Amino acid sequence: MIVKTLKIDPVTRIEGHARVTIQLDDAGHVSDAQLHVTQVRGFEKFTEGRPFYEMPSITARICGICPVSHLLASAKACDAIMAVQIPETAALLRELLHCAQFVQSHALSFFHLSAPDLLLGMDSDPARRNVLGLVEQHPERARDGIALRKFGQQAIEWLAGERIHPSWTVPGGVNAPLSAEVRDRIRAELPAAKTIARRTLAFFKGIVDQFAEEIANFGNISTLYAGLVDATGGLQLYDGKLRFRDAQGNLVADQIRPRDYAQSIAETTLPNSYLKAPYYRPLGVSAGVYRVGPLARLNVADRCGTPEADAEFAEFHQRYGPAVESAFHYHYARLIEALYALERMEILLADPAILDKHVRAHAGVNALEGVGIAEAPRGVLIHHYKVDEQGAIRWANLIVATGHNNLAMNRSVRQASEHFIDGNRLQEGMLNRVSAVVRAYDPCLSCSTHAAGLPDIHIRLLAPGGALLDELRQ
Amino acid sequence: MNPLVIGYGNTLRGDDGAGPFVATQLGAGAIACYQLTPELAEPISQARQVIFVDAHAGVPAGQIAIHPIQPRVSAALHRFDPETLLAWSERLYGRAPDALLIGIGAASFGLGEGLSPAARRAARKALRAIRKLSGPFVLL
Repeated sequence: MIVKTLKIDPVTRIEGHARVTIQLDDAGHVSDAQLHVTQVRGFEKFTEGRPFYEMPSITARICGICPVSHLLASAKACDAIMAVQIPETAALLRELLHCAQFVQSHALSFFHLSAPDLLLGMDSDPARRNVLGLVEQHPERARDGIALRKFGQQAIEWLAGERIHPSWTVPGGVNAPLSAEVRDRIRAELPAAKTIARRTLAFFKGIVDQFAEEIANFGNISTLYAGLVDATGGLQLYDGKLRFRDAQGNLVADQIRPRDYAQSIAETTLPNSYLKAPYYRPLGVSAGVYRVGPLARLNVADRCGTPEADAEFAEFHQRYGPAVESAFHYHYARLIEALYALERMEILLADPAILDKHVRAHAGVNALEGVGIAEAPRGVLIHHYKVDEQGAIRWANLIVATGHNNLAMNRSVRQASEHFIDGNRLQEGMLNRVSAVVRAYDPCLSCSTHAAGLPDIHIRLLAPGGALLDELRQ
Repeated sequence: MNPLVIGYGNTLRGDDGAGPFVATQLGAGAIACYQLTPELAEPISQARQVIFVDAHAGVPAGQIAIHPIQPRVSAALHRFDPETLLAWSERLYGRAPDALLIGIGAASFGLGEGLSPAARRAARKALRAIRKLSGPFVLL
């Protein structure tokens, strides 16, 4: 049998570096497809020996898009090592910062990365199917995207001093209180940002039905879903406990404390990828595939907890059922969350406690292990550290949102490849749809490749005709 | 109305921080940033003139080079250049102002903060040139 290999290398309009390999049989049909993540960061290993209180600043460097999520998950792990309960105002401020990041990150994903597919067409000229094409053909959407992202970035800068890698979030809380002047500045900008979020959501709901074939074949697979919820099952981005639901919407596990995450989550590796592959431990690697991120969060939560987002949440599930399976709907869920984040910012800024001056607890090492979990824009983010008595990191484990989605992304890539790729009449738009599946998950690959030691490498030696001559696994 | 000065570069890579250094010296009315981003298109569209300041390996260390620039869309999508920002400003907000790029001759882009003596000399020349071009900036 002659094996033909198609490569999408690199997958564009994602954060980080990846490629997709698609195997065709001699009839031109897809026989296999895999997403490969081709970069390694290794933060788990090289942070060993660093003082634990440096971890928020160090691990924030993992990502330029969602550094706030790493700051928060890391600071929470450090809070646990210090065994402190941070002041109420510090928790409010951390959530406020986090919501601002959700707004900017979701705006980046929707407008800058995926809107070219959605507005210009999956089959449109690839030379124009990018954000520049969007600027040319849909300047009003491009302006909205810029303004919404700017709002989130600006709020982060006003709160934390810097847009990227701010040092405001520290173990024990934050390092400075919020001034009334900054509060009022952000509040003044909120209405315009909400108008954009509402307008974009209404626009997307108007076009989503045009993508019936993509909805049916973009990772329209049965998996579990995981996300943080509060004690009553409401959506949580900054805090909360882990919940898993299955593809029918049934509760699988609930109210799992961050420190107990390993009872539910195990990790494996995949051939030819630096990206770890977590799975739901009780069901094993095959049946335990789960997804995280906007779609998963709206699948696991009972409600959002803010008026407008709750109305959108109800409509979303009314349209697509209790467990929404197609990865295409990550876009829809992302826009609902952007609106939710803006509403939460409004609520947090209206709380008189937000201006309280007590914003940081101080302590040394009071526990030799700490776990911090937050919802990054792309999903559950886990930082788990072990320290010695002096507070030096002895071991670190980072389970990053994109990693949680690894197995599901591979299944999604295969499903889309099988449906859209015809090896006998290959067209660029077919390959673009496979890339668009990956983009729907909004993977952040720079965030997610920290496996210590050797990755599972599979080297295949193929003859010119494609026959397998030799292979090596490490 | 003063021109908008945007100094950009990585302050953790030696002389690459020359652009932000110049913008910081100018204070109000100048933007110091790590890199150019789409969000800058709107304030650019509202400026009488925009002056970009960036460290440049192609300019002799200690010297500066001043070039007028025009809106032009770059094919490289992973980073913005000044010409692309001007094009976005024109397309999205209806106006691209006159623009200059001041290249600061740099000696070292290695890891570390602070400018080399040569880059510092060039930065001072850039500040004088900006003051001459634009009038009453107040040096900090």
